[in-house]
Amino acid sequence: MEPRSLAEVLRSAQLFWGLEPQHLEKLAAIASEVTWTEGQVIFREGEADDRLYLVVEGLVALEMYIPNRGRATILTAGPHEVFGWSAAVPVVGKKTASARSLQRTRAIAIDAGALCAACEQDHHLGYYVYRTLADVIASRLTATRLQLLDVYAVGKGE
Amino acid sequence: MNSTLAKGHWSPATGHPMVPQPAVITHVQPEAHGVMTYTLGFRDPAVGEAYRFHPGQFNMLYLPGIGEAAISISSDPAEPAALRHTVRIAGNVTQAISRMEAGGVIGVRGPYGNSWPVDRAVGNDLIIVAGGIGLAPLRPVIYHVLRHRADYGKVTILNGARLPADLLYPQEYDDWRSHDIEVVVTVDRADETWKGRVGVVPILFYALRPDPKRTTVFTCGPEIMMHFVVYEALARRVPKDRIYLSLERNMKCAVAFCGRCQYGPTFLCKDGPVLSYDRIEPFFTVEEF
Ligand SMILES: Cc1cc2nc3c(=O)[nH]c(=O)nc-3n(C[C@H](O)[C@H](O)[C@H](O)COP(=O)(O)OP(=O)(O)OC[C@H]3O[C@@H](n4cnc5c(N)ncnc54)[C@H](O)[C@@H]3O)c2cc1C
Ligand code: FES
Repeated sequence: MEPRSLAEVLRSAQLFWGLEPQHLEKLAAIASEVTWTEGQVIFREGEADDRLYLVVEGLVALEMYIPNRGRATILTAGPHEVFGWSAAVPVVGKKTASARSLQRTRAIAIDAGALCAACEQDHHLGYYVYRTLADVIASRLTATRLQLLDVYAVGKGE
Repeated sequence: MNSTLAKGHWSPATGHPMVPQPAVITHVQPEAHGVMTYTLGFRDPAVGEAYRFHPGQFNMLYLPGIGEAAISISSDPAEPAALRHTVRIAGNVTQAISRMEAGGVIGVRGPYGNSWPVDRAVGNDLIIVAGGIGLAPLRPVIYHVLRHRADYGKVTILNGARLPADLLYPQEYDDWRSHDIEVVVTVDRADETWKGRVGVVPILFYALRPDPKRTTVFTCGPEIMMHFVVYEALARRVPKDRIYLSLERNMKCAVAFCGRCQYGPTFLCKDGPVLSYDRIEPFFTVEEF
């Protein structure tokens, strides 16, 4: 995919709607397109993978390994959703879950090191990118809380 | 025989508002763990012929010596003779119903309550959001849409359950999809054999870009889930008066008499269970309301 069309794909994602064209170009310059076949391991928990991803089409499972129980899917990421955000949060640095494609999946990978550097250089871009990531992380947190509440349990909320 | 049509809660199709009519279970369909759908036929053919309901209405199902429970009608409003209720075991009444088989008799009074405003939504895109047993009162809306598909724009069903085995009516999704309806399913928990989505229902909104000027949202499920559905719909600028929720609080008389279902200025058995968000906003997020 050419950088121009990468910028267009980025713009079409809800996350980047508000981004200025010159910032989109900067993101496109450090992004590349990736595809995975069904069942491919994208990264593993604990790895120092240095990319974050925006799903364009397909579905990715984020999994954690529970000793003696095996792998459990904690969340999936579909079109317009970001995963692998921990690569861009220096204090975390490592992948906090494993990722596996559940279908043939196309995504845009953004180099986390280059993203941090671009944000350092251009604080407008940095503000936007990290606000967007804060949104992603906050919605994950809310979703996880709802999952923990076990809202479908009888007599507890329905 | 009492054979009034469904005009409102005071004159249910089953006659006197407080007197149940016997109905025979003609079929029992297991749906998920602890959830079954019962097809009922009124013993009195005159009651059966007069009986009509709108999507979203409910009946009081009665078992002598045990009690009554409000249960939504989950079948096609265009086929009122095949009256279906999807029941999840919660307490005494639903537990007793779960032990019944075809041929058993249940008392039915209703239908009660208002309905999903399918007419007001004509010309709109529809987003139908269900969690768990919440798909039961929305299934009649889906049947209505299937019969009047040209009346609506884009139709999306977002459906969630706790586990894959808890998803209701999975055998019908392909038929819904064949009518140009997008059906997106998610579960809260799954092992690696599940190839679909995992996560709570509200996050299915992330991939949607509704046109706020022509979108109506119908949602039913655990109240906490509906809070976040409202939040996601509002974040996409869907107007408050186009977001409808079914509030299934406990009921007793179902005829606006006992006050059991009072919710702010409304009696949910009469003014609800379907209410638009602008009407309930002042109470919806109040703790213990
Ligand atoms: C309009 C309406 C439509 C409904 N539709 C359906 C349906 O289609 N299928 C279905 O299975 N159930 C439905 N319900 C819920 C059903 O009426 C209740 O679960 C009912 O209490 C079951 O009766 P029971 O005697 O088995 O349980 P109960 O002994 O009454 O209750 C068992 C437990 O569930 C809790 N509980 C009961 N009802 C509610 C409620 N409404 N909200 C929160 N907690 C509750 C009680 O506090 C208790 O802990 C509906 C309720 C309403 C008001
Ligand atoms: S249930 Fe009695 S007033 Fe509504």
